[in-house]
Amino acid sequence: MPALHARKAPDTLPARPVQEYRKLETRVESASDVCIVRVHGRLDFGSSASFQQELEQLISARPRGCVIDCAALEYVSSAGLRVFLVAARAAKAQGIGFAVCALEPVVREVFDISGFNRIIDIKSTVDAALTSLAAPRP
Amino acid sequence: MIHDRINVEVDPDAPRRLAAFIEDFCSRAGIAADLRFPFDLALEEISVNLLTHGAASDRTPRHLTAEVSLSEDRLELRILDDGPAFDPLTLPPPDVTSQLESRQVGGYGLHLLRSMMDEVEYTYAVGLNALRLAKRVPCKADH
Repeated sequence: MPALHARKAPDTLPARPVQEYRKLETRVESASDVCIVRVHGRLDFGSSASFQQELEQLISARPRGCVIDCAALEYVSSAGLRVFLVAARAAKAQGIGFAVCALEPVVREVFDISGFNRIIDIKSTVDAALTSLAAPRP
Repeated sequence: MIHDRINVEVDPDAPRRLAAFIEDFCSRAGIAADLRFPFDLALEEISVNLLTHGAASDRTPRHLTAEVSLSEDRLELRILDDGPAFDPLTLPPPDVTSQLESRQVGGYGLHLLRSMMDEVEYTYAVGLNALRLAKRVPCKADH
């Protein structure tokens, strides 16, 4: 590719800090046969496949419900949205309740713009999600 | 104005390197994570698209250059790549109203970018796709 204008970073920028790329970490808990998946970090191209596999395994164990706690989810791309969509479909097909909760504002914005707020149950807290899953289903 | 740039070969590790690049720039420039988000997203969506749909027939890697600049409170990102000519702005937006069962699983990345950025412009010249994205990012940093 043709060389672009070489630019030197101006001296006014602070020194580069050592940044450790944040991956996605998950922790699974269970309460009254509902699995609660707490996600931390980035749900992106690099982490979506293993997260999808993890959710598929959890859902195939047929819990009563599955709640994704997104309080520490910093980033979600279209690759990450796909995981939520596939998991929500798999859960619905098996009659398992599925909800996401505690979305950071920017993650909530992604859900709203993509219309995922219309197809995936979004709750403000884990407790609200558990209460919703405990309620009789229409 | 402060600016930085990165050149990467588009391999499966490229999205991660680009994410680290924009995070590093924004961290040094005092731009908060939520304001960085659409720029982070742009680099992932474009590089992943190139990785999955833009392979060369001889399988030599594509190249991508990202240039980011902050002028007062306007953050601009230019993404140039030598993949096949492709104007992402011509893609029809996904139907965001359809039901769970009929919902398309992809196509949200560019829709998100168009919605979250203030300015999006595509050009193609001298064999390069060039996408320019800009957004106002009120920041506290003293430049």
